[in-house]
Amino acid sequence: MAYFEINNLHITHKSYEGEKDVLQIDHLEIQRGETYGLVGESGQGKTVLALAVQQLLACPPGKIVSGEVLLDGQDLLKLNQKQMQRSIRGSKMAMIFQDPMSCLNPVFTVGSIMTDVLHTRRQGLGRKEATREAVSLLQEVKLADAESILSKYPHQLSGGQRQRVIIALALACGAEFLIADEPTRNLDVTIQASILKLLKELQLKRGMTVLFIANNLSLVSAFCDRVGILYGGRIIEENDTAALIQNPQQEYTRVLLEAVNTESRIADPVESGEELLRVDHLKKYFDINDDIKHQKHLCLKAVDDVSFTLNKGEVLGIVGESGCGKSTLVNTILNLFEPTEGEVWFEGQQALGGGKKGGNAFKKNVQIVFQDPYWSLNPRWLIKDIVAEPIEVYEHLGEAEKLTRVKELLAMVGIGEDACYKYPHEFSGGQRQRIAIARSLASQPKLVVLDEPTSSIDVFSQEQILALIKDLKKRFGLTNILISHDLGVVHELANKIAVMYLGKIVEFGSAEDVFRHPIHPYTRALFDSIPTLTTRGMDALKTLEGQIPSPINPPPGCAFHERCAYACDKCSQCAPQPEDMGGGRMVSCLRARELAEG
Amino acid sequence: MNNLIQTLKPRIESFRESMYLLARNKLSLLALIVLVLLVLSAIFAKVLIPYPQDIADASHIEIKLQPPSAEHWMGTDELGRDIFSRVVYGARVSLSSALGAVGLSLLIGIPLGAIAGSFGGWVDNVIMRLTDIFLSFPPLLLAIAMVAIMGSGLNNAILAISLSWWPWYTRLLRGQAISVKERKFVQAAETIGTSRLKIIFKHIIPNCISPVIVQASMDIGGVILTLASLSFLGLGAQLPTPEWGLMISMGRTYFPDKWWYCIFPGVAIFITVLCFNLLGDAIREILDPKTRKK
Amino acid sequence: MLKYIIKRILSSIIVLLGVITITFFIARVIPSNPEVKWAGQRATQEQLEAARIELGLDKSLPEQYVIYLRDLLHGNLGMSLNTHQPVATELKRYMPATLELVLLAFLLAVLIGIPLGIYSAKKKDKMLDHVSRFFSIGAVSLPTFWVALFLQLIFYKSLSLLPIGGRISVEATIFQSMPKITGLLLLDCLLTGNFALMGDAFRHIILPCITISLYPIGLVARMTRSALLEILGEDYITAGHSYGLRDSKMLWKYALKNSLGTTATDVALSMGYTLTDTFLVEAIFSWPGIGSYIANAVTSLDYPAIIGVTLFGACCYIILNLLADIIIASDPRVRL
Repeated sequence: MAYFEINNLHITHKSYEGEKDVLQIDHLEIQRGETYGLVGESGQGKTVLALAVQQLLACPPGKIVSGEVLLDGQDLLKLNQKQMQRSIRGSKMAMIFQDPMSCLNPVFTVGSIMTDVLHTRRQGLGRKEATREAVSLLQEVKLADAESILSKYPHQLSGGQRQRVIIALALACGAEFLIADEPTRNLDVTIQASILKLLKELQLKRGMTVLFIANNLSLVSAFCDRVGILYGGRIIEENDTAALIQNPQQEYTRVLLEAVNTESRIADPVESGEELLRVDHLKKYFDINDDIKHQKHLCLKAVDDVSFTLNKGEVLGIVGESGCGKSTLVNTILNLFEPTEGEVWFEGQQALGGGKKGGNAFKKNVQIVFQDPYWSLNPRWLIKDIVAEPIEVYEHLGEAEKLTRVKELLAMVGIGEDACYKYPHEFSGGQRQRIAIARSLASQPKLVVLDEPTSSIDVFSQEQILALIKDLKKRFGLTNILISHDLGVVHELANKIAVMYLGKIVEFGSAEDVFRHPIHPYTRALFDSIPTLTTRGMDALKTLEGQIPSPINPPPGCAFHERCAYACDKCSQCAPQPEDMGGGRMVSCLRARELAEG
Repeated sequence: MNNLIQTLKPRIESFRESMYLLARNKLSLLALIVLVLLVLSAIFAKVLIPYPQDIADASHIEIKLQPPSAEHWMGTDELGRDIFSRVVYGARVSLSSALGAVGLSLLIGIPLGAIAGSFGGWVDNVIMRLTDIFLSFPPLLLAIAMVAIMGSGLNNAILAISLSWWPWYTRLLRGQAISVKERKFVQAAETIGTSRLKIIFKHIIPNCISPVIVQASMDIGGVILTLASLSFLGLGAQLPTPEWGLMISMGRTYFPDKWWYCIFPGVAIFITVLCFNLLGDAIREILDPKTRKK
Repeated sequence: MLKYIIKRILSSIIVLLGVITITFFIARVIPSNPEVKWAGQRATQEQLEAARIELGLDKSLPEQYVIYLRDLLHGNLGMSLNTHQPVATELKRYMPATLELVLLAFLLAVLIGIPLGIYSAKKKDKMLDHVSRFFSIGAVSLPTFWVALFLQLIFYKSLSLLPIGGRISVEATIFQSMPKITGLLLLDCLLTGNFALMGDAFRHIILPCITISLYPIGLVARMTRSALLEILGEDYITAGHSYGLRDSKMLWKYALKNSLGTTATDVALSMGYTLTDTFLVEAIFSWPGIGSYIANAVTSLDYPAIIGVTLFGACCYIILNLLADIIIASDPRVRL
């Protein structure tokens, strides 16, 4: 008999449109000690499943119609809340949640939360013993300085630390079955790997069984023994990890695999044209005014002395972890922020602060497509008005002509003309992103910035949007700046790469060079910490220790030296300058030459 | 025609959703029905009431202060006027005055809030300090002081209530405007090069006005209560206007022996305000994105 | 933390200055002929002239404003037209009675409102929740002055259980000497051990106290319920369940502490309403407090008294809000 088993579980959700099926699982079983990966995109019912088996699903609107969930032969759905609390939750199964910030109570210290959980299970536990136990748990999840963490509030910890605390809480009562719901989703990539490694280690040490929920296959391939693909509330395919990756049966699985496969995708080559955009020592500092703290004038160096050039027809991919300043850089180039220092040249002309007229000409030529296509379209406007907004600013056309233009633009991105009189919320994410692209092309720009253009839409649409972008780029000879944390997307589109860390570009060069032979230690660490389909087992995954320093108070010398595996004494004293490695390659590292040679 | 249907479709959808959520709560549905009836009877009051002349200065001393009976469902007052007629007509007075007061507050509150939220900086600071100052008077007290000085009367009471009520709407709209300003479509409009004024009027205000309107319609209950309190103090409506608060105040002289004079207008106030509050509560729940999300 | 409190106090002072300015406008700028209001409708020309000089209306507005501020700084709220006594002195005399009523109502609001809200949230969508919700919405929908009359009708007229008004019965005022220590009659009786008088005073305070506490009870219960429900929907509550924490612990310890800030603001807000409701209710129950004072002032257009009470009320309200903000600041999420 399997350790954990789900049979014929059917869950519906009631709304004004009537009852809708959200989950219909015929059979799922997990053996003791196994790691089962459940993969699907958001909205496919992963979290519903995780909550339902613990009887934590909000009912109504949810409703468990039928089915059984067996843990060690005991049907959990037959237990009432009290029994679940007494004998199952915490002691037999526990869950690790997605967002480490929102699932720790902000008004209690870590210590108080932990001792509460410990006390629930063992009433007689004294205060001292509970604290000792909490410290040993925190040490088990490899939190250095466990005692001091106990007295801290959740907001005083970094994302990685919080996730470790949550893992410790899940372990606190000795649960043997762990549900990990995208435990690394909101963490920086370099932190992700270390959390995953920790989980695996603990699993082996404690002999736990893990149900690992993920939204893409790359994490699962390294972590899980078996994988099930969840689509539309059903498990459409299930197999051993290696077999599933090698031989996917379903179209959806294939697309999911394709989405994380970086190797097969290469950007179209471009003949280098003339210079279109030159960014010269651009700086953007934000003043921090803390009303309550009254601290002395502080500034956040979001973009710190960035220079690069971009030629016509090229695509520049900017990569880096969240908070590295990539969005601020782009917003400053777009003139949404006033730069603190530095210049931006567009087609040989000064682009920023050139008076209203000069500014407008620049704005017409540079457009942006945002990450989330829902909020980038005004929900109260009709599609025709949304797409026509740039036309109204730059051209004076009659209503009829304008409508014709809008229809042309929509046709270009593959949206029918009946869309004109609809509102944004009537479209899917992918369609909305197409509409946003149509709008960005309406003023006939030369440079289009793509800010994570595919990260909030489903994989099917992702593929199509990427194809559309490539196609439009070819047809109109567009130049692009692409911001993305998804290296697959960058692989597919970018000719040039800029790697950012704490407001600076640490490595810049052609995509081929940077991907094939990264020089800067940070670039190497960044690429290594992202599991790919070929990563087998956790040992192959390289981790980057330490936290990302605050950009308000970066370390002296090279900002990366505290986490760098190649750091030497000089690195903490002397800030590296960009060094030309030839072939347009710039690396900001004191040991760049050594590293480049081997 | 097809276009029109297409344009209206999302509105209909969200209306259907709202009605679904509303219907789940039987009590609020009942409140809605009662309110609709109240509004209707306020509109057609003159036709509906049994003794239309009694809403003014008519006097039939011979039947004064009679307890409720088949002819006079709620009894008669000190001039022998039919209290039922006056209470029904009172709905018209209260509802229209409350509507006026809320409308006036919106007229002051919305533009100020939009300016504060959209411009920020010192403009925002000045406007928000001003609302702080107005909000630091206990509710009603400022209105009492203003009417007392300006002179009693329904119109002055409405004006005074609006002058002490607008800061709530300014605050609400400002908060909305600030969050809407952060939305990507506003940034998109900025990169497109749309002018600032157009961004404020076409992008920001249309996206933040509906919660303010909803709040305002829920406030009508509270305003009716305030107005009745002012009238009770003799500061609001003046004789012979059949205003509920004023009627209770007049009835006090004969209280508690002729209890019906005070009790029925009070019941009318209670039912009206209760319905507004019940409905408001339901609307708040409906608009809560957590209820609506899934 | 200390810095924040100082800053918050400073901003309260600025707001107070604004409040004073507004009352100045209401008192001196809006009325077309303040001297007529001062001297009365039938005043002679000379009396009017005297009133103009007495009010300082012969001086320019800025000068008047400075004088107004200077007077306030000395605690001078002007003279009442009815009694020709300084308003400040009269307020001092009437305040204890009002304070006693408001404090008791406040106590009821906290002791009944908060548990009711918690219970309602705990039993969401059960019968008890519906009843308590209906009660709290009903409580904020009732016209206070009408409730006062209604209670008199039942407990005085029909049941003859409780007195119709006053702070103490007439016989008691004749045969007993009133203890005066704090001015709060119930407390004073307790301190002097005069339990007979205390019982009498207690019988008198029941109805007005119930009347004015209805609104804050309803408001606090409603706000506590919604604040709690919002918190109970948070991820960390689900997470807590998943670690096996008990429901009762989650509610009483986790959720309640988080909702403390919101509850504190709500209590402060509801006290503002209570203060004004007191004004209406006191007159009906002939309670010798500030409310009766202002009700008299309103009917006789004693406007220095009206302005004085308004200013006093605003001061109380500002202080209450200040206290609420300081409580909220003890929330660790507001990083101090």
